[in-house]
Amino acid sequence: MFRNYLKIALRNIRKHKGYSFINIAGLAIGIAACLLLFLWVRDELSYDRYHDKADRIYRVISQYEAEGKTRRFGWTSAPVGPALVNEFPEIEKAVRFARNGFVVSYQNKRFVEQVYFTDPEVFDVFSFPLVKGNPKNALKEPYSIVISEEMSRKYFGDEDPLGKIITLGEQRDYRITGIFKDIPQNSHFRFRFLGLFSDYASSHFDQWGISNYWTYILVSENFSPDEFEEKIPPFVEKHRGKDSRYVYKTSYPLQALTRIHLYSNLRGEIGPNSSMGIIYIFSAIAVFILLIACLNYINLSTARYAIRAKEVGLRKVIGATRPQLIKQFLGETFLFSFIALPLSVMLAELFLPLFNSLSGKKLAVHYFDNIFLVPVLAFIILFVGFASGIFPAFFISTLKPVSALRGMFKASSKGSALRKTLIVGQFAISILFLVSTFIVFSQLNYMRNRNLGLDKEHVVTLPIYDKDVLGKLETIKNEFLQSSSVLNVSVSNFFPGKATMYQNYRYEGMSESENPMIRWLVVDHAFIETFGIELVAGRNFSKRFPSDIDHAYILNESAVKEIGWESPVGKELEIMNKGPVIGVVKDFHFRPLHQKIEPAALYIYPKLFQYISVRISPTDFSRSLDFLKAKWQALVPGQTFQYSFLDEDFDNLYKAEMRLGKIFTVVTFLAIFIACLGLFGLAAFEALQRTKEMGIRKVLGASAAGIVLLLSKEFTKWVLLANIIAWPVAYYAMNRWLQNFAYRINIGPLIFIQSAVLALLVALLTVSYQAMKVSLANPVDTLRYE
Amino acid sequence: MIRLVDITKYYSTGYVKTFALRNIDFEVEEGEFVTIMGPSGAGKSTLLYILGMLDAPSSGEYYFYDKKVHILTEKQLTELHKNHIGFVFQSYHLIDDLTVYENLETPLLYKKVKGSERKGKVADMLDRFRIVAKKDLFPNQLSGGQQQKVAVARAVITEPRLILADEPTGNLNTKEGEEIMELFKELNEHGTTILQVTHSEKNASYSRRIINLLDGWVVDE
Repeated sequence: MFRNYLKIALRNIRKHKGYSFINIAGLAIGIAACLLLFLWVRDELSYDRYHDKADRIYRVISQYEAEGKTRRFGWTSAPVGPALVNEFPEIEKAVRFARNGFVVSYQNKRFVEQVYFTDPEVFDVFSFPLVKGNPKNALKEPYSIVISEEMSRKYFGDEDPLGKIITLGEQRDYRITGIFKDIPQNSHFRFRFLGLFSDYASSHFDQWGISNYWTYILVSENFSPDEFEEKIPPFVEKHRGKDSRYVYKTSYPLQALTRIHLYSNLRGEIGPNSSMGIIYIFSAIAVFILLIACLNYINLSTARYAIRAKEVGLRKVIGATRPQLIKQFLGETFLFSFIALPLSVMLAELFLPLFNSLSGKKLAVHYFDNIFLVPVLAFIILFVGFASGIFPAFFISTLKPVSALRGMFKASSKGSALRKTLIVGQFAISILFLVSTFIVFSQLNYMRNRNLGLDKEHVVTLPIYDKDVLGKLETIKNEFLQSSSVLNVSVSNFFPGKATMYQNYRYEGMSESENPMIRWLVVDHAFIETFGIELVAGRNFSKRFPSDIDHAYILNESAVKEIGWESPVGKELEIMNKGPVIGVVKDFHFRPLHQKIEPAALYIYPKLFQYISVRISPTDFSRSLDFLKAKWQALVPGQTFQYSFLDEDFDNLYKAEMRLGKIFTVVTFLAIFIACLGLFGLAAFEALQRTKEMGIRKVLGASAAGIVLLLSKEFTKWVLLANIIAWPVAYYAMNRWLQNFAYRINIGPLIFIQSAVLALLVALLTVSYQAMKVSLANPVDTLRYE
Repeated sequence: MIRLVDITKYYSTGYVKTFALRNIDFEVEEGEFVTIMGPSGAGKSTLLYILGMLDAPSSGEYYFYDKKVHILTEKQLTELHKNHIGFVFQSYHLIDDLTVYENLETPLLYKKVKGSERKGKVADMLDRFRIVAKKDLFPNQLSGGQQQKVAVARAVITEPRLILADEPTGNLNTKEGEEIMELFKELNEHGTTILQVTHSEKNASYSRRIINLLDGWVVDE
């Protein structure tokens, strides 16, 4: 029996190559997309799980409560970890991390690198295997450092780095005591250089108030986070109760290591994290695409079965029962799925590089490594086969043999209603994606082009890594300004877009119960001018007033509004030192547009300078850059000339959104393509069904154009209906997404109209091919009685 | 064997009822060879389909071997006609995607006949109908007469007690038609009951009883 069905199924496929191809292609694309997205989701869910003790590792974070608001930060201070270990037996070990940028040099190789510093227990807590060196004593001696395999190749080529000396920064030598395997990509933080915490942060060992570090703990087997939570308040009271300067409630919550990547998005994360929301979105996309492919199959199958009605009626006559028929047609669907399988795997492999570049990962299909892959594929195949096949199978098995045999079976009205629903559904999903894509790009455009209140074009940023540079700042500035193409030079501790310090402060007239915080921007006299920021009250910092350095503040409008001063100039403020407010600037975006502009204070404090910003003239960049480079190397030889363009840095803040836009574009194309495949097949079928009718119409005098119009009208209605369904869903979903941005576009009607027109055009194009074929056919042929 | 009591069949389109059969009463004994005749639209094929349990009457009773067919479920009907009735159509209605051998095999597969037994029966049929050489050809590679022979072979392979034939020679030339009618005669002589619908007087002459239908009524016997 099975062989019989198989034979027929195969012969059928060969006989109707066009339909078969469309069906299989649609299924294959759907399955391939699912496969890729599955790989992605699996990777995201696997972050940090490779550590042997992953289930027992937690991160300690800081939490402050003030003015009714609770704020959490990824940072903790240095003494927290060791104190926890000392006082709680269930906390076995604590490991802290610090990080800073240094110029790393070995012989003639000098590069700026991010160097991490940690406690020696790091190898007992995390699984960072050493390829060379002994984890027990690699980080024991002061000024030991371990480097990654990648760094070993970069600095030492084929040589063995063990025991060699590299220099960090000015003249601090470190001995290499080990090489570790490159940190896997699915880690929420990665490093290339690892030194000793005590070599870097020893001065902060007792400083409970300086939170610049990240703390991880290893707990015992039967640790209960809920129980432990109760023990924290007395712990805090003991160590911080005497901190009377500011009144706020401190706490140290714990986060499970494996949950950081997907669930944590605090200030002070050690690296950029993802979110479960994105996982859900991508899973939904995968399901959608698969759904479209299945709908396609159902549509085409039910339509085609009209052709096979005779066979079905006949089989019933010669004795087939409904279950037998259902089995036969379901089997055919499974056959399609199976044939689609290798094709889909091929497609997945083919598009893997593109997908990796879109997602920023290095995924690969490891067929036998991954125990999930084969069952998942099998499940997808079965699901697709069943979901696509069950309905047509049932549908066809209910045919009355008599009408089928008499040839009276036409695409019955019941079937046609279903087909319409399916097409509308597919297009609705496609339009949903289309609208979303438009909105994402629209928002991106908006963010790039919005007036930021500062001028970010033609600004070059040079990071300061060395005390050497710090000491020569004035000279460097003056030398730079000698060129006519250098318009302005400013020094600060940040540049627009970079994270800024968040500090407690006091202001004249504040009540004692308040604990306000403000963004603290460390700048120089030339800052406002260099960035074209607008002053709205008072005056700029000026060299004529020596007290402007370290004793004067300029606030932004938001700060003034939050404090509530009517005339702020002259009032007193205190972050570092008490000083008067000498001016107010118009709000400018110093952070990406996700955040509302917060209250900020500008202050001159040279010890914290970190960046030199140079505004150069728009003409002839390369000459200006060469000039800067030459001056730099002359003034601070031994410091690498590293620079970046501010507007590029700004754009990079929206990398996540750009990536989303790209992904949405691809998905939209896919969805529309599959939907059109289905539409094409369906149009062909409808054209076939109505060939005779069209022949008659032509005989009666209809023009070719008229026929095309008639056939296309039906489909147009469906697409319009699809639009109407998709619009509210798209609006709601994208509105939610836009809430991520404090500054966002308004979703106007134009986007919806655009999408509708586009979808319509595509649908018409698809249908018109068939319509034209029909309209050009000779009526004589179509009306001939066979 | 077959007893129809007051069978009526109508189709309703909107509010209009179109009657295909009106108050039909007749009986057929086992072993008979009956012809149903009448002009086009008289309801002959409808009657045949009802007899073959492929369609249900609008009212009336149908007894097949004293079983009340008119109250059986679809599943029970299929069982019944699968085992006892063979159908031959005017346009053969072979499965185009299967070879002659496979077409003959199909009814046996639906009856869940075992492999070796199947092979035997098919070989037997091919032999009897002298179409052994054609067993691996597809229907569209055969002439009309050959296709009809295969159709008859298929109808007969399950050894039904009753054969219903709807214009079996309608699409065949004289010689081919004769061949088919001879087959029917032979089958009848071996005990199979045959009911045929036809226009042709010649075909009717093979049978021993003629029923005339006109506008859904039995007119003559």
